[in-house]
Amino acid sequence: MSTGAGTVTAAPTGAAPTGAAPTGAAPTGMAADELDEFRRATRAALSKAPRPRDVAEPSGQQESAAWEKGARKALGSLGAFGLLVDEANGGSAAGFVAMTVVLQEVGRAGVGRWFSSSAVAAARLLADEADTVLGHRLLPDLASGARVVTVAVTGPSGRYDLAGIAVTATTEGEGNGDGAVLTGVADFVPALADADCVVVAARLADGPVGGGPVGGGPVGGGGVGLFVVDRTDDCVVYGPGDRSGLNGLASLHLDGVRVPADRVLRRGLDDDRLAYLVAVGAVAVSAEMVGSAARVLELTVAYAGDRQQFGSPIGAFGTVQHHCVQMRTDVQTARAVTNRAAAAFDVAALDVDSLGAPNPDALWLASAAKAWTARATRRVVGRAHRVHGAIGFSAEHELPRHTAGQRDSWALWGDPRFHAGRIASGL
Amino acid sequence: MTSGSAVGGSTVGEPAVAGFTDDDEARLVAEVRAVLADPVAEAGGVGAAVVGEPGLRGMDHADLGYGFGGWSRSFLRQAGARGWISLLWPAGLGGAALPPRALWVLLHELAYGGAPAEALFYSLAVGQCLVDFATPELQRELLPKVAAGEVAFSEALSEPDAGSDLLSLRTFARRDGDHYVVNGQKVWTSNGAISDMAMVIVRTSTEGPRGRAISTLIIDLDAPGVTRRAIPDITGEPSYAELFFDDVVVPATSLLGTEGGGMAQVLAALEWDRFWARSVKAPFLRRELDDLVAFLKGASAWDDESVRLAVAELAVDIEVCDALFADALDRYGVPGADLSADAAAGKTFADALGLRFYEMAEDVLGLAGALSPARPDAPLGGRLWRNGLCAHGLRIAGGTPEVQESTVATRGLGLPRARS
Repeated sequence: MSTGAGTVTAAPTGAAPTGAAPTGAAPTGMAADELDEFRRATRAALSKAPRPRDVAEPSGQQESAAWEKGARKALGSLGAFGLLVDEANGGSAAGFVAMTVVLQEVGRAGVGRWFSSSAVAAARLLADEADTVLGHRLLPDLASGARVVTVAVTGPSGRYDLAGIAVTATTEGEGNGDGAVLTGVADFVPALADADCVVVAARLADGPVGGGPVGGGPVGGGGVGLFVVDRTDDCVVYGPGDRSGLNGLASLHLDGVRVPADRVLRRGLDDDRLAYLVAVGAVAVSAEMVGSAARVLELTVAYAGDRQQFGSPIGAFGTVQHHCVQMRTDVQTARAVTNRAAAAFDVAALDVDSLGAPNPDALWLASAAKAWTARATRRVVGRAHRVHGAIGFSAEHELPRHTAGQRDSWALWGDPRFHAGRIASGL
Repeated sequence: MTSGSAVGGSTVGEPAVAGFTDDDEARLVAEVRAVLADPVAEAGGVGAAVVGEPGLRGMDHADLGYGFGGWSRSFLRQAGARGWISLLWPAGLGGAALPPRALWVLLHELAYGGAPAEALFYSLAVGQCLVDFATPELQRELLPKVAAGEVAFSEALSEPDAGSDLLSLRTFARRDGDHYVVNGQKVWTSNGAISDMAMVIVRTSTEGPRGRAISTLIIDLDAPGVTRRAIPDITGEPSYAELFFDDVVVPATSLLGTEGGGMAQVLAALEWDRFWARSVKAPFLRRELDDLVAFLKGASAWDDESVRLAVAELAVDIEVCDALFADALDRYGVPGADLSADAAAGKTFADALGLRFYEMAEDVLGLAGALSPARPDAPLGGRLWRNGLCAHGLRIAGGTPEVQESTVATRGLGLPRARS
C-alpha cells in the first residue's frame, strides 16, 4: 500500500484486522525467553565496558573514549550490529524486536550514540544493496561493527521530508563515469564523529546518476539520490561538542565533494522510502529513550528510598511517590508502544526491498511511538530532577547524561508534532 | 481513512496464543460483528428502547453512566447464549477454558462496536470470583445461571463512611445457624437498582484485625429486607443506587470463600475491574474518535490544522493505552505474576485518557460539544457530552487515582508506605 508524503494510514485497516495480522513475527525472530536472555547478555556485555567514573570532566575524555570503544566491542561480539543485516552479508536478520532490546540497553547504559545510526538506519538503507559490490563492501563490516555508517538526510531546516534535503548532487560531466559532486549542508547527523562513512541524501540536479533506478519525485527535477561519503573525503564537520548526549548531532558541510560511481546507491529516496526510513529511525530512537528513561526511573526510586529528610526516606512522602508513580507509567507506556511498533516492523520481510514497501501499520505505530515516547521521557527526566534535587544537576551524577540524551533525541527522526501531523493526515 | 475495527493494527506482530488460534480469533470477531449488526433479531426482538444513534443499540436503559455502551439485560442473555460469559472458565465448570486473549478480543470488539455491554462486565467479574473462590455447592447453584446470562450482578462495596477506606465498612452479617442476618447500608452501587444479585462486602466479626473480619456474600437483591433506591448520576441517569439491608436472611451457602477471607475477593474483584473494564478503554475511545473524525470532516472544522493535530494526539494516546494493557495481558494469569500495580497504573492511565479525550472533543467542537442528547442535532447524538461527564465518575469508580498511586508506589516500586 502506497502512502503519500507525510501520510500514514490509520491503524485500523479494514475488514480483517485480526486475521490480517501475521503471526510469529519475523521467521528468524526470537521467542520471549530468548529475548529475555538476549537482554541479560546485552546488559552484561555493556556493563563490562570500562565505564568512566566521571564522564563529564574534560580529563575524563580519554576514559570516555575507552568506554565507547569497549561498548562497541561488546555490541560487536553480541552480533548486535547485524540484527537487521541479511545472513549472506554476515548479519543474523533477527529483526526489529531483537534490535529494540539492544537499543533499550544502549539507552540505559548511556553509551553508544553511534549504534542505531549504523545498525538501524544505515543497515536498512543499505539492505537494497545486499547483493551489489557496494553492499558487499559495506554490509559485512557494518554487521560486525568494524565499520560505523551513519545517515544524513535532513538539512539545516531539520525537516524529515524531501524538502528538508539541502545537499545537491551534480553529475561529474562527460567521461568521468557516473559519479557525482555533492554540495550543500547535511545537518543534525547522528554519530558523525564516530562514523567511517555517511550515506548522504542529495537532490539530483541533472537527473538520475549511477546507472540504477533512483527515487522519483519532483524535487530538483531529478529525484533524490543516496551517496556514500567517506571519512577521508574532503568535507567539514561541525560539532558535536564534548558535552553531547546519546546522539551527538553534527553538521556535515560538503563543498564539491566527489563521489565515484561505486559509492552511489542503486536506489534513491522517494516519499514512501523516506517515510519508511524516518519511521525506522523514529522507532530506534524511541527504544533508546525508553531504555534511558527506565534507568532514570531506577535511579530515582533508589534515591527516593535512600535519601532521608524530615526523619524518613523522601520516598515515603506522597508528593515524591506521585512523581515516581507517574514516571513508572510514562516508562511503561513508552516501552509498550515502542515494542508494539518494533513488532510491526518485523512483519515486513527483511530481505526484500522493505524500504520500498512500507507497511502502513508500522508507519502508524512508529509515529505513535515517537510522538508519545519523546513526551513521556521528557516528563520522566523532569520529574527525576525534582526528586534528585541538587545532586541530579551535578555533572558527576549519572542523571545529566540521560537528560542531555533525551534532549538530543526529542526531534531526531521527527519530533512529536511532526509525527502527530503524519497521524493526522492518515485519520 | 479509518474503518471499523477494534483490534486493528494493534495485533500486528503479536504471536498466536496457545489454545486460541488466529482462526479461532477470526471466528469470534465475525460472530461478535454479526450480533452487533443485528442485535434485535439476534435477541428475538427483546431489545427494548433502541436509542437512535450509532454505538448504542438494543439497550434497556440509556447508558447508565459508565460509558460501556449501556446496560442491557437482553444483551446479557445473548452473551450468555453464545458462551461469552464463561469463555475463560475451566471446562469442569462449564467454561470454554480459553486463554485471556479470547476475552481480550471479545471485549475489544464489543467496545468498538458500541455494544451495551455493561451488565456483561459485572457477570464476568463476579463470575470469575465465583470460579476462583466459591464452594463447589455455590458454584453448582449459580454458575450455570451466570453463564447463561440470567443473573445481572452488582458489586456492593462502598458505604456512606467507607469509600477509599473500604475496611472501615460497617454492614454486618451475623451468623445464625445455617444463615447470616445482614444489616447495614451500601451506597454508590453501580446498577444496584436494576440488577438481580450483588456481591456484598460485609463485616462478620467485631474482633481481631479489621482486614480479617471482612467476608463476601452473594445476596439476592429481591430478598425480603432489601430496599433499593436509585441515585441519579451527573447526567440524570439512574446509574447507581443505595442498598439498605434490614435483617436480610442470607443462606450460609452464599458465603463466597471463607468467613474472614473476604479481602482476597475484594482485591481480586477490584483488580479484575481495573484491568478488564479499562482494557476496553482504547477500543471504546477509538470508536469515539472515528465517529468524531467523521463528524468533523462533515463540518469545516477539519480544515483547521490545529484541530487535526489535537485529534491526532489523542489517537496516539489511545494506541499507547492499548499497548499498555496488551503488555500486561501477556502476564495475565501467569503464575507468580503480580498485576496489582500494573492494573492500578493502567486504570489510572485509562481513566485519565478518557477525560482527556472528551476535553479534546469539547475543544474541537466548541459550543456544539456542550449539546446533550436533548438536542436532536447534537454531535454524535450527544454521546460526547454524556460520556465526557461520565469520565469524571469512572476515574473514581473502582478506586481513586490517589489510592491507586499508593498501590503502585508500594507494590510496583517498592517505596515505603506513604506518610502525609
